[in-house]
Amino acid sequence: MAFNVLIVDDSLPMRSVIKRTIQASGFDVGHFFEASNGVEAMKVLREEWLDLVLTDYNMPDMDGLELIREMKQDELLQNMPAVMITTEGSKERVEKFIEEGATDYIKKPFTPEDVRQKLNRIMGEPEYGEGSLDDSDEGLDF
Amino acid sequence: MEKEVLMTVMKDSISEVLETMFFLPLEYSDAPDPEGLWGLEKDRIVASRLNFSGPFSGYFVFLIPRDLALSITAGFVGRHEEHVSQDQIAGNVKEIINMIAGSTFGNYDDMLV
Repeated sequence: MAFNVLIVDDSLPMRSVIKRTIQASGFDVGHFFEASNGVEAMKVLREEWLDLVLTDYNMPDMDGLELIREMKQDELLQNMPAVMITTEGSKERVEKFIEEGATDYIKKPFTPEDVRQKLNRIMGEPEYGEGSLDDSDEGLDF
Repeated sequence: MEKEVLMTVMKDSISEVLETMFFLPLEYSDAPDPEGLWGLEKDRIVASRLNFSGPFSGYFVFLIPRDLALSITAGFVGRHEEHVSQDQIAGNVKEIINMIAGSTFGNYDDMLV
């Protein structure tokens, strides 16, 4: 099954890295969508069929936490997995993300293995293909 | 916050970010300017500043030679150096300082627990 993934981050390089990390993890992604803040993300979420949201925390206009709150208030979006990708390292802050509805979080800096483990837990084990971390290191050259 | 503790936490965080995300192993030197960074022309340095406030306040400043910033940005976004834009370099440097700051505060919090 191919997953449609929305990556929300105001940093273009970071969106690029997250995308390539997911590809390297071997997940079968149907289509990547991108947004640079929560407002843009909500627009995409209302227009496209998505399976997973990966969002940065600190962003202009609408941050990652506000995005998740908004998703939780929307009947169609409230059960969609939303993972916070953040530099925030304090346990208190991370607990707050989960309390507010984040499915999980990935702490920056992250390794492809960190991302793989989180996505496996949330979306189930992928069927590994040629880009798998288990098969090759070629996909890891950030 | 004791300066020595903060310095240790910052060094760990800088290493963590640059080694994990950019595969740049670091060695610290006690020399004031081991790479001759301060001798570079202004236009050959990329700088970023991040202000913070809260229980304590201040700012982080990150300086990196432009050639190195270009090289690691190219690796980060998966493009050849000639196809990397100034905006991408700036975005990447901002992302680096953001990660270093976040990691520093997170690691410092962990030390206090």
